[in-house]
Amino acid sequence: MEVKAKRGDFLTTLYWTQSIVERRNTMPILADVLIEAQGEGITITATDLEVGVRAKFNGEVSQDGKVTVNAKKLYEIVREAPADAVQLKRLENDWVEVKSGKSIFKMVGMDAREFPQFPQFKEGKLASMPAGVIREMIEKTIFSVSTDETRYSLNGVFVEEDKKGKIRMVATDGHRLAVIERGVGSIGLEKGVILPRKGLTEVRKLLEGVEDGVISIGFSENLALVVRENVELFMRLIDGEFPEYGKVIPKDNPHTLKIEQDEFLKALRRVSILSSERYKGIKLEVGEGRISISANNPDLGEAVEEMDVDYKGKRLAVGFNARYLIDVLSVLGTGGEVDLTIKDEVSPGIIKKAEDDDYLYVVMPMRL
Amino acid sequence: MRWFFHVDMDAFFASVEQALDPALKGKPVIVDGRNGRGVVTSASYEARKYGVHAAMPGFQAKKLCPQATFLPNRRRVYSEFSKKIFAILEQYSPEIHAISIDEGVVDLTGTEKLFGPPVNTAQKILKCIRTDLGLPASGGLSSNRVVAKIAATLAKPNGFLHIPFGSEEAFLSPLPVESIPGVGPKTHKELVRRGVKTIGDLLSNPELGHRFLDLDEGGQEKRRHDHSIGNETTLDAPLKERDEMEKVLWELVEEVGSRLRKERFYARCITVKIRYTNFKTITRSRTLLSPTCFDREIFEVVRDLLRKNLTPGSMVRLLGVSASSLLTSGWQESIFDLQKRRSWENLYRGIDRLRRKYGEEAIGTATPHIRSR
Repeated sequence: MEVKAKRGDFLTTLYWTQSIVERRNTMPILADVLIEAQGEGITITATDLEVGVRAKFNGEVSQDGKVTVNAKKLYEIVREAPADAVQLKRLENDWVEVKSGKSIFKMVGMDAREFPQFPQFKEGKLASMPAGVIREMIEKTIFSVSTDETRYSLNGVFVEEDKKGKIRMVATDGHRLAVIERGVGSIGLEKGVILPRKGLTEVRKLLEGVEDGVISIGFSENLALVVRENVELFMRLIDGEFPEYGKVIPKDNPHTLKIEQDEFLKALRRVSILSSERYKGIKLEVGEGRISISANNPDLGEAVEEMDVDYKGKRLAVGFNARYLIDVLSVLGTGGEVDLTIKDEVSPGIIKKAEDDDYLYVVMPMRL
Repeated sequence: MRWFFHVDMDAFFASVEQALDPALKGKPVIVDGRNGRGVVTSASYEARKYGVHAAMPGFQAKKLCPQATFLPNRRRVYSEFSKKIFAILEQYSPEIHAISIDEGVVDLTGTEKLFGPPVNTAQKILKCIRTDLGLPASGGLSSNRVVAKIAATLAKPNGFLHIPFGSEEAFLSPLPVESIPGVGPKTHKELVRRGVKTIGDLLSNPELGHRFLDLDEGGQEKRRHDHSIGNETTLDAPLKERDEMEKVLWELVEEVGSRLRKERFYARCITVKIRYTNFKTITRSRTLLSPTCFDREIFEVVRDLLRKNLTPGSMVRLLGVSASSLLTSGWQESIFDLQKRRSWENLYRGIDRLRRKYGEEAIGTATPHIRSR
């Protein structure tokens, strides 16, 4: 194999591989990228077997073939390369030569035939989706995914569709739950699936800043495929039972507060400075027309801030993990009011925008 | 009334060496400081007669007692012996506070029914250490931790001192202030400058007394947050069947659960301890998403830990359960277990109330075996 391509093309493509390659070194070849050349196309693939990415770009191919080489190092070399073009050539015994301007690197590669195959998907099974909406749905749920590896089925976002062409995404860590529903058409899911956090983080990266345009999504057995332009991403679905989330969404919280969202977020950030590092507990005391947000930490001191709110219910004091509130307020989009509905100091509260009934965030109070 | 028994080993490292090598018995033995290098970490009482003491530079020890046997430090061996000592202490109370490798406090409060008067229990513990392990140990027994420690120090070597309830002040008053743990040379100098020489002087000055010697056991309670609540038992006959072990664990869990609820604690971490007949001991812990004080939830974790960690076919002689990372606030319930947890809270409140009123046996679980759901 021998190819020559623009440094920039190499760099953007290798960028997608960097967070995917295996860090734990279970299989040495997973720390490598696979580079394949055929006709005018150069394809770069990386995978940790759970998630994989494959991206294509054009270059001058003087000889077809394939090589593998360490992903991190190749990325660094290309990033620092002195010239606008980068040349890659396979040498004897799986060695790879990288040339740019006057620099020459020779790297140890591995037998490219050993590199895991990128799964095959049937063309027709992919559905086109508005990229901006999918990005919004991921952003509004992924932060609630559990990081507790023993709770495997909560380590991803649950995706299902109803018959009316609405897609629903749900994420929970057991203490809070985010549900979003959007009408984007069918993606051909007969039953719900759990998409792993790592895979969705990559999709989010792929869609960063994207408002328009489309992406294609498809499922086959235990895999999901997402395609945007020249980049394909696959992920292995989480094999587990997602909890029955519908039952835990409170239907009859009697007290609703309407709060200036941006002010609320800023006040929470300020007050939580003095909450305990570990639990981030803050207290919300609501009374007619006002809310007081306070934190108390025996080692540091205390903080309190009052805000005017639209509230006519009874007086209540509820503890929350400030981080859980800040997380959701940060993805709701700036401006306007946010509704917080509560029942009592031990039942879950709901946060949502008044005008968007299709995005709900349920959060458990904290014992203070 | 509380009973604290402070156990302090005498010349621990040197004594272990003497216990392991009878030829060294009755002879001056010094650990570390060989060839005049470094400092002495432990000196047997025979060596102390020559003025050698721990923390003394090796060359000085060599000069004072050239005939002593200087040995290298075998930390591992001492630590093995330490484990054995604490295993003995643990047989008499679930509340053990290890202070260092050779020093610990046993809370004998409430063990009267089981073991008889604490004065006898304390001496039994010392005897057990002396005969089973062949090591000299000293102990102090008192209603107060600090007094127990001071008594243990005064009882050295190989002695026992009991300070009866009510006579603590009379015992302490004539002692010099430097007997108080934490009063070092600097503080001592400062106190003497203020005319405070004995503990009696200190106690008559309420402001100073409170600062250096807190005789109020209530103050100790607050610190118990970072402790754990545990219970373990050496089995009458070693067990091989997991079902049988689960029955024992269930009883231990009930005890731990009721103590957690009594103190209004929720535990974030549950630990199981298994000791096989060959004395190999393992402990396995799990951290919970939502802290608990409910027997059923604790048992679920305990049973799972047992299933995952028990070596099949091995005989078990001791089982233990402990709850740690104790909290009274600062966590969220799991969204998915809300209803279940509420009903358990009511259930256990009811059970505890019945037991307080009619005794432990008033109510129990019909089958200690909770079948898998």
